[in-house]
Formats: sequence, C-alpha cells, structure tokens
Amino acid sequence: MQASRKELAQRVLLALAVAGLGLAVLHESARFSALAAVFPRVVGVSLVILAALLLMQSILGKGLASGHSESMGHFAGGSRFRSAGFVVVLLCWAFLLPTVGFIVTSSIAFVGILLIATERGTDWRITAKRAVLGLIVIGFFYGLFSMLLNVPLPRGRLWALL
Amino acid sequence: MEILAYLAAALTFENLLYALVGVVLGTAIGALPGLTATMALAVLVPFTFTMAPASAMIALGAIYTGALYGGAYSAILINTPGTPSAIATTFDGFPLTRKGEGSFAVSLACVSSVAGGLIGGLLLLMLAPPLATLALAFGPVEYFWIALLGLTLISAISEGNVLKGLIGGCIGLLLSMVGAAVMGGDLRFTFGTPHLVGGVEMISALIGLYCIPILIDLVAEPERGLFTGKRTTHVPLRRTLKASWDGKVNLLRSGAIGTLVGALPGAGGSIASLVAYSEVRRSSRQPEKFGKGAPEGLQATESANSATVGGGFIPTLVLGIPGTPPDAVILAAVMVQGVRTGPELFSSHADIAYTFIFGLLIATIFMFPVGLVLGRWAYNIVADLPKALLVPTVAFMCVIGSFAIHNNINDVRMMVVLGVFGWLMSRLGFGPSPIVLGLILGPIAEQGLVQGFLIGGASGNVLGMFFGRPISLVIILLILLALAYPLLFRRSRRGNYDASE
Repeated sequence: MQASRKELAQRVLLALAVAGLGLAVLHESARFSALAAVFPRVVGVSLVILAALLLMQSILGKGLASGHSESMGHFAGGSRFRSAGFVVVLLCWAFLLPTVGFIVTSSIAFVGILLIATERGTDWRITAKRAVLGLIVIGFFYGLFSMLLNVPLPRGRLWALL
Repeated sequence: MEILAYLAAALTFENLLYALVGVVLGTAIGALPGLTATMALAVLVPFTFTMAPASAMIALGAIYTGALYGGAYSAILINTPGTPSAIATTFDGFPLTRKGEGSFAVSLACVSSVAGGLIGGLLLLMLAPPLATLALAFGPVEYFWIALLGLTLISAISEGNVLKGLIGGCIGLLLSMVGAAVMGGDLRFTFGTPHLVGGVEMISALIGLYCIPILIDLVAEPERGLFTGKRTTHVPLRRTLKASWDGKVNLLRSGAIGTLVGALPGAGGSIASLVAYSEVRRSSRQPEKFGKGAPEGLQATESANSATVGGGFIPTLVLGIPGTPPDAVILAAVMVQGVRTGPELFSSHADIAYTFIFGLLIATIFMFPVGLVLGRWAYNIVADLPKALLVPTVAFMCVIGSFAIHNNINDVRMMVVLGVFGWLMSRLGFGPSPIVLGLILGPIAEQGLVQGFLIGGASGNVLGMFFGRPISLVIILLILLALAYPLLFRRSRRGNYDASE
C-alpha cells in the first residue's frame, strides 16, 4: 500500500512537472515573433494536454502500454557510488578539456573511469596493464584524428601559459 | 542492350576495386560512434576528384553503403546508433547482444543490409522517374504530417507507455527549437548563453542520449564483462541464412518501405526504419517478443535503412534534390566532376547514371563478405574486452567523436549533459528514441506547420490546407492507426491470454 501510494505521488509529480514545462514554454513563447512563436505554442499546449492525460492515467491506474520497453534501464540497480563517480569524471573531462588539453584530460579520465569500473579483487598488475593499453588506445586515436583527419584537438590553454 | 554495356562498364577491375575499398573504409568509419556516413564521405571525397565521374560515384556510393551498415555495429554491440537511421536497430540488436547472440545479430544485420541495399538499388534502377514525381507531390503540410507520423510511430512502438513516448517526443521538439528559429530567425531557449545559439547538435545528442546511460549502468554493475552468459564467437552463417530465408517477406517489404520513404528528401532514413519496424511488429503473431531481441525486428530495420541509400538517390539523381545529407555530399562531388544531376541525367549522361547504379549494386554485394568478416572481428573485440576497459574506451570514443563533428568543445559538453539527462529520464520511464526523433524531426515539422499556415492563410483555407489534401489524409490515417495500435495490441494480447487460460 505504501509503495503504491509513493508511486502514485511520483506519477502525479511527474505529470505536474510536464505541465509546468508546457506552461513555461507558453510563457517564454510570448517573447517571440509571430512566426517563431507558432511551433513552441503548439508544443507547449501539447505538453499541457499530455500532462493532463498522464495525471488522469495515474489516478485511474491505467497505462496505455505499447508492448515492450526500450533497451534502457536493463541494468537497473548496481552501485550508485560508481555511477555517480563516472558522471563526475565525465563532467570534469568535458569541462576541463579546453583548459588542460585533450591528451592530459583524456588520459586522467580514462584511468579514472577504468579504476571506477574495475571489478572488486582485481590484481593491481592487471589494472596497470589495462591502463597502459588504454593510453595506447588514446595515443592511436589522437594520431588518427589529429594527423590523418586533421581534427584540431585542444592542446590546452594551461600549457600555453607555462 | 545498352543496359548490359553499362553493367560491363561497372564491372571493370578499377571500379570493382573502388567499390571494395569504399565498402571497407565506409564500414570501418561508420562503426566508430560519432563518425557518420556524411563525415566518412566528406573526409574521403577529395580522393575521388582524380577519378572518372562514374568511378568516383561508385566509390562514394560504396563508402555511403558501408558507413550505413557500419553504424549497425555500434547500435548492436554498444547500443549507440552512429546515425539516426540506426535508432531502431538498437531495439532488438542490443538485447540480442546482451543474450550473447551479438555475432548472430551482426551477421543478420549484414545479410539484411545487403538485401535492403539490393532492393533499393534495383528499385532505383527501375522506378526512379515515377517515384521522383511522387516525392515532388509532397508539400510543406505533407512534411509536417510525415514528421508527426515519425513521432507517433516511435511513441507507439519504442516505449512501455505511449503518453510518455509522446511527452519524450515533445521534449525532443523543444530541444530542436534551441537556437535560431528556422522560421522568423528569433533566438529561442538560449537563456542568454552564446553556446546555445547554434542549437543542439544532433549527433552529439544521439551519442549522449543512447550511449552515456548505458555506460552509467554498466559501471554500476559488478560483473567483469558485458556478457554474463554463454555467447557465440563464430559467424553462425547457416543460421543467419536460414533466418534470412525465413524472413524473406519481411526483408522485401522493409526494403520497399525503405526505398519509398528514402525517396522523400529530408525525412528518409530515421522514419523508414521505424515504419518498417512498426509494420513487422504489427504483422507478427508474437508482437510481445519485439524489443527483447527479436531477429525479425533487426532484419526489418537494417533492410529498410540500407534501402534508403537507393531511395535517397532517386530525388538526388532525377531531380537534383539530395534525399539525405550524405546524398548532398555526393551531389556536390558529382558537380565537381562536371556532371549535372536532374531530369536530363538519365538521357544526356545515361552512361554515368546507369554505371553508378550498377556500381552501387556491386558495392552492396561486396558488403556481404566484408560485413561478415569485420562484424565478427568487431563483436569479438567488444565481447572479450573487460568492462573496466570497455567503458572508458567507449566513453573516450564518445568524447572524441562528439568533438570531431564541428571541432567544438560545446558539442562534447552537450553530449555529456544530455547523456546524464537521458539516464535520469530513463529512470522515470522515458526512452531516448522519442527525444532523439523529436530533435531530428523538429525543424521539418516546424517548417511544414508554419509554411502550411502561411499558404493556407493566404488562400483563405487553413483547414483545407492541412486536412483536405489526399496525401495528407493518408498520412493522418496512418497516424491515427499508430495511436490506436497500443489499444488494439493490448486487447489482442488480453484475448490471447484468455484463450490460453
């Protein structure tokens, strides 16, 4: 009973959030010119209608199931700390790339994710071998992209200052 | 008789070599997440400038065909569609990989792609002029409805809840509006940030929304590798050929759908594979197994998306209007060669046009051995890699792939942010496909809607403009069918359940 009440509350909150998003879009579209406002308004109104239907569906307890769910969430569960650690490393990687440079950030991030993803009880020598292999992969793709495909990978503003 | 002369011209050693090398290079580039068929063509196009026009077109067609099939590797093995056409490939391809059937999935995708490519090529050969006339009958309103059909289909077939699918589609449409408006030119939803003026890059969104959530979940799991059960390491050729023969009707139908939808400039690949997937599921006696590793689903999507190559060339060659972005690159390369595509191509440069079409068919046949060999190799690499090495390697490919699209760091940031957003949305029951398709189809839908309003307003009949044209009515009927499908599906499933009880 507790779980279903919690689930219902979550669904109602989700419907309200979707309705809020639709209303925000409608509010924001008031600033646009007539031509540019047509489509956002249509989408905003659609979101509000869909939120109302979602709310009704939640209250009536019926879902319009389509038969299968996409391949997402197949691995639900596991360690939240590892997931959070991975997200933090990814964000740092993306935001430090122009400052610290491609090779340094990628090498550190690669080893960081490798350590987070390593299964428990793995010998440190195996981890070290994997890290070296990873650095070789980075070197190979750096060469491929920067030399063969002429992609100007960031060298890092930090190194220019030193 | 002339046709045989064109076939002989396509079968020279030089052309065969260009076709083979093109397929290998295209497959290798297309297999890397973030590197699309368009990019493969753009990078390799300068090498064709010294070739004869027909040979250059054969080489480019082969690269395109290979890259499109290569995109299936990442979709099947790591749930990351390299191109929008491969979105539906993830539905059953990745579940097959998770079951240890990745080698079978990659082989089946190869045979299905070859079948679809041949159907598309043959239809291009036979039906190019009439199909191009049909594509010309599509006005802005029809494009609006076809975009809406794409969104409705994906909501109805890709997620457990249709309403959430439609909401996901609307969120994708909102993302497509970020930046300068396609109509009016206003800056929308940029929140004063210059980084958002250019909008949300489609490929980085594709990589982020599909790949990052899978990586986040993989990291959380304690297992050593991607596969926990038994897996096949060899190419199950006999089983693949048997499954392909059993699914011949599905392959033919999906190939025809791919060619027809591919002939529509702009919307092509992503919608074609969804329509084919929806159709095979609708006609199946066991629709509930789709999305859990049904080989028929994989056959339908791969056949349809490979057939869009031939379909996309119909408006490109006959009208001079590129059907897809890779067609635009090929069109530009052909113009550099001094050949003008358009209605007179098949009369004034028939030798080039027909030699190219035969070359495309030959390249598609080459894809069979190349795809099987490269597919087995790619699968074994992914299968043997420990997760601790696979996750950072794929993350690295995502970062470098996103950056390489426009050499822009903001694309990498967008990819990561959307990836985390996609993961959170998946916790709430929203799949990535409706969001991505909303992002892709948003500009087409907006342009069609606003232009339709303007034209309808000028003629004093807005309703007639949207609901009074025959092609529009057919598409609206299909939309209604797609929306009603989950209800019918639930009723038929309940009927089956009652019968079994």
